[in-house]
Amino acid sequence: MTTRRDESADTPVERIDQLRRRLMKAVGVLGGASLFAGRIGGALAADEVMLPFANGRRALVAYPQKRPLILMTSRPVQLETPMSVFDEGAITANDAFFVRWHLADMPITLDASKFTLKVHGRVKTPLALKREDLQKNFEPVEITAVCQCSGNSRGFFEPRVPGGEWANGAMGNAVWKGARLKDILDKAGLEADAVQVRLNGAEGPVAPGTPDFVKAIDVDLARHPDVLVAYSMNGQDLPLLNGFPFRLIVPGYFATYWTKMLDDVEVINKVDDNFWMKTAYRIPADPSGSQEPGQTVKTVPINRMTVRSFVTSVADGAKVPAGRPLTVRGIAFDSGYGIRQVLFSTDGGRNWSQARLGKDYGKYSFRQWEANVTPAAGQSYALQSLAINGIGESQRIGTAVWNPGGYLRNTVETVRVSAG
Amino acid sequence: MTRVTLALLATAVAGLVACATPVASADNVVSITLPEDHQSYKDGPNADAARTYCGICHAADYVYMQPPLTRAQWDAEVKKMKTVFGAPYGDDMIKPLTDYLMSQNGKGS
Repeated sequence: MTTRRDESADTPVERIDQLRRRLMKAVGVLGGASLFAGRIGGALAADEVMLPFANGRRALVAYPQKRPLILMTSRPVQLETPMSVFDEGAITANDAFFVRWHLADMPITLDASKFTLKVHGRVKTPLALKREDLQKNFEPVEITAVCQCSGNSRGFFEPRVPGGEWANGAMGNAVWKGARLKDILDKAGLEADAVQVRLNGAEGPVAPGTPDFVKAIDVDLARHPDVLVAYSMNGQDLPLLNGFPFRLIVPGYFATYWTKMLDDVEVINKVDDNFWMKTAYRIPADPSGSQEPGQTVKTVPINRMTVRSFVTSVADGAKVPAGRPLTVRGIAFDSGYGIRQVLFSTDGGRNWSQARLGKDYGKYSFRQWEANVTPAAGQSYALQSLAINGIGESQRIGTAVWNPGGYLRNTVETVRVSAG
Repeated sequence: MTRVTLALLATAVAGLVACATPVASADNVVSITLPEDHQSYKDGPNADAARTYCGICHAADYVYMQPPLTRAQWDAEVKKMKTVFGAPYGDDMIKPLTDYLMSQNGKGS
């Protein structure tokens, strides 16, 4: 039993009609109200936040299985995690974990005892696996790993680029438990000509002409022992909006490959050329990931994450107490080499000191850090952190990455505070 | 539970906004209700066309969260929705929809 968002419509045309009716209903309910998007510069309501870029006003809304999160879009659902959540610890709570769906026709009712993962294509023995099969017939593996949307921080690109206008909260870190994709593929037996593994989840398009959201990874990556089909998140079932009953985990790689509600793994003997691989989610092939606006450059599919860090204990523009030590906390992460050190500055990067690193949850995890400063009355401080990973890669200093997709931002961020 | 029963259940609760407690039985079945669109396509030139053609696939947030875009950028978005994402409108709708988007969140004229 899988009920989709527009479950009572059986054909694309009926679906469109139904969605249109629901939309009109929404217009009827909200049309006369003062919509927040129209109140440019108006005061913020208690359930609103202002992200620091044009058209950054957002509502805080509690979705099922979620605490109030920053609503970016309601259909398909996209929810951003407030930065203060990342100060709660290295692990992001399930009810605070960001949400990003691509296509509005998503299941809203799922029966995990019936939901099936099909493994087929260039394999010797096609498989049909239920959650119970994954739990009982494969070795369980637990990995703590950061899941970060490819477009995280897109709203900070300058010049701005169209797309999902996230601030920095389209990321989270969880303890994932599941079966290795490698073990599943070994059970199916790859044919000698296998090149890539194509991943599809239960979300689908509304309009008949919209390409289904399908991603592909090379066989070598698919057979990496850290790539899991995860049925548990922080010791619990995944929230439905995060991919219940199971999703793919590709530690170190951007979330576009972490297919939610994974129900189809097809082994193919060529490089996948569907829209979501060939056209969307592409980054400049240059190692910098950067280009000039208007320039046409060679591109490749987005892949590993870059090194990042954030201050989490104090917000930009905050007033802090003067004359006594203030502990500044934050998080750092990379694509799986682990964080070696985090440097901390209170003067916008002119002087740096070593931050203390928190508990190590593994090389794919957020690493918390902390540092001290004793603010003087009347002084302003530009707090910055600079993370360096296990192979010496660091965050970008100076000009931020720019590309038309709004991907790979990893510049040193600044949090300005003043002491009063 | 049959598909029809679920459909009726979903219809009955479709009007409720957010915060619905997920229904779980034996940890196997999870059922949620998604809130209606948070904001609507506001009035403007050709608003009905926008509500129909843009609203099929996505909420109005997709318009209002963007930085103000130039006419060339909105024109490119409207064309992309048609040619890449299969939005069901003809070429004759490209200018009316672009006009609407410019009226809502445009930069320049």
